[in-house]
Amino acid sequence: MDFMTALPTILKAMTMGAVPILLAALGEVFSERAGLVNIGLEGVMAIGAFVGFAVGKMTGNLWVGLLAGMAAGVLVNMLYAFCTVTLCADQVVTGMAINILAPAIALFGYNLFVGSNSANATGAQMPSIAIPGLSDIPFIGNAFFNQTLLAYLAFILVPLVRYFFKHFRAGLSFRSVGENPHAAETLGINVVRMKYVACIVCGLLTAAGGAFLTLCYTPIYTDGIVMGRGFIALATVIFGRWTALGVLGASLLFGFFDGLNVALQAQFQAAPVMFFKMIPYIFTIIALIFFGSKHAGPKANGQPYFREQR
Amino acid sequence: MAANVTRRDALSLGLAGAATVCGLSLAACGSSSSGSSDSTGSSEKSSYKVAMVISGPKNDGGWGQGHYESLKKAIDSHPKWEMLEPKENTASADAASAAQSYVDQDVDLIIAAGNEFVSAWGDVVAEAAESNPNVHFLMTNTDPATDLADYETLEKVETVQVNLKQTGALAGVVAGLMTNTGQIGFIGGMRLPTTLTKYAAYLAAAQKVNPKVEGHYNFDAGFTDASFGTNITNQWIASNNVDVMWGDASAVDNGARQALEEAGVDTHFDIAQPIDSVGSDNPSVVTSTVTDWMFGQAMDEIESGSFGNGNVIEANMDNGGVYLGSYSDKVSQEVQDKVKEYSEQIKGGSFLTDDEVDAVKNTL
Repeated sequence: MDFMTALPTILKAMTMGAVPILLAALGEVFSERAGLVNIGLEGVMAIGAFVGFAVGKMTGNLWVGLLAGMAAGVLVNMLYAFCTVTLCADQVVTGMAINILAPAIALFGYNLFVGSNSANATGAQMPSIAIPGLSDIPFIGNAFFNQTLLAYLAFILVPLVRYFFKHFRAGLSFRSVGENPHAAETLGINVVRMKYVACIVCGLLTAAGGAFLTLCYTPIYTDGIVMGRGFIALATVIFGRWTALGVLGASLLFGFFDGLNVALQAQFQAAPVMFFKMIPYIFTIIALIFFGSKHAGPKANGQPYFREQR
Repeated sequence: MAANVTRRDALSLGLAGAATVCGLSLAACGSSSSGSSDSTGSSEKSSYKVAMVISGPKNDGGWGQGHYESLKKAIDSHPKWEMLEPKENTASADAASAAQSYVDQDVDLIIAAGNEFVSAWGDVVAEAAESNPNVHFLMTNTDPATDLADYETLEKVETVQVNLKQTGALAGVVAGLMTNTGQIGFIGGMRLPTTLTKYAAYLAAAQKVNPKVEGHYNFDAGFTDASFGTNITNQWIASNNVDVMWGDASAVDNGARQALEEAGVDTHFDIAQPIDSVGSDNPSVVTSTVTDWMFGQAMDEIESGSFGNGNVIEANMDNGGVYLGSYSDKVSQEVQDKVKEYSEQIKGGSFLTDDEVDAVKNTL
């Protein structure tokens, strides 16, 4: 394989592959910063992917599709919020339930939507916008500066999220809720409300990540289209040390290894491709071994919050 | 209760939940009672029922849709037959219960779309042979010698196999004539013997009409990850100048089409299967290798009482089971004429020998 010939395509696959993971991971940062480990990202992404696809197809406006997908993601994530915040149910079990329920709802909706009308099976796709000058830079130009508007927005979101958590009062409140909710409550922060807000933001961003798959990547919805990206997003949050910049780096790194996996499959076709397919996941496991210390995350992460508990 | 709810809230929630469950149960009872009204059999068989079990959706643009459209076509030409709603997205674990539910309704013909359900249906077939002798089973893409070796009885069972050599050769001829760079690609969902045969015939045929042709393949793409189709096709285009693709991987093929469209639909072409996919929705598709699963033949056999005993129905170019679909305007009349000429040779068996196909297959 001529690596330099393959590199621009690997980088393009990297950025395209990183965006849905990045969006979901940013959503998870909000959730975990408020003490909620939401492993239901996979399910929320599936709902966002389907609703974004279906509404985009029906209305002919992909941005309306995106907004509808995000709204649907919030709706599903409110189930998670109600169970874990209000009823104080186990967060892992609830997240798994979301992962089973949401793709099934999406598939049911898909069957209703497409029905016997196969014309509904293919939607439209957001166009790529090449930034003049920058998109012509060798190797990286096409990868980073010839993207859909949604991808640009996802990358712009990273510094905004970072700034929010570092400098906004609300951002600091999020962090305090995730570290010590009882102390936060005594300071006048409404912990339950803050956790609900975190779930809303998480639902919005995660579903946007799912919608990216059907509105920007390929104009179709299939059962299983999320392909484990929700779980990868969870890993990138840990690898990225619960920070927006870290999550960006982890998403790009995973995207790079995924692109490399495809390039190797394309060029060494007689080799057992399973070895190549393992690359991104081996990277994920190694990253978690080195960066997965549970002491690094918010202290009250994953713990139910009882207001009356002393 | 250890939660952020008051006792009154909890009581309200419980009552609301109970009311919802009752409502849903009543609705389900209503729908099931209305749906079961026409399940009585007819002694003189003036009407027949057919049902199909599919592992994916019936409108996947690939495997499931190919079966569904074949069945619709058969129903159109068989007025005595009624099609029940196909059971879509059936997991292997649910395959037996799906078949049994149709047996219980005394459905005359139950179709398994693909051989993935075959092992799960063994007991259902054996029991139905005694309890419901009017029920017949048809399994597509199934080799009775290997896939049905453990079956107790094949009395009411037949299978359908496609002439893969013809399918691959048709795609290969088009690819060989349409490629400008001499580089053609293929994506398969799984490394199945049928997939390897298709690709071998595809490459052998392309090289026969254009000796410069080189093939690029991936047989482990799965059937759902369209982004993989996009990425690997992009990689082949960038590194190897691939300009014609044929796929056997349902949704992944859609991803490949995206990459071809981005590279330019005037220079990069896709051959679709197993349904005719030429149209404005798929601007890169130049033609399609279409499969008709010959369900009509099975229906005829049931009506005449000759169905069963593990017979194999072959879908091929002679009986209309394999053919090329419509062409897009990217295919010149000259190319179409040549394809027609080669198609006659493929149909007659003089275009490709088994040895030529095996020679490619042995390299995979």
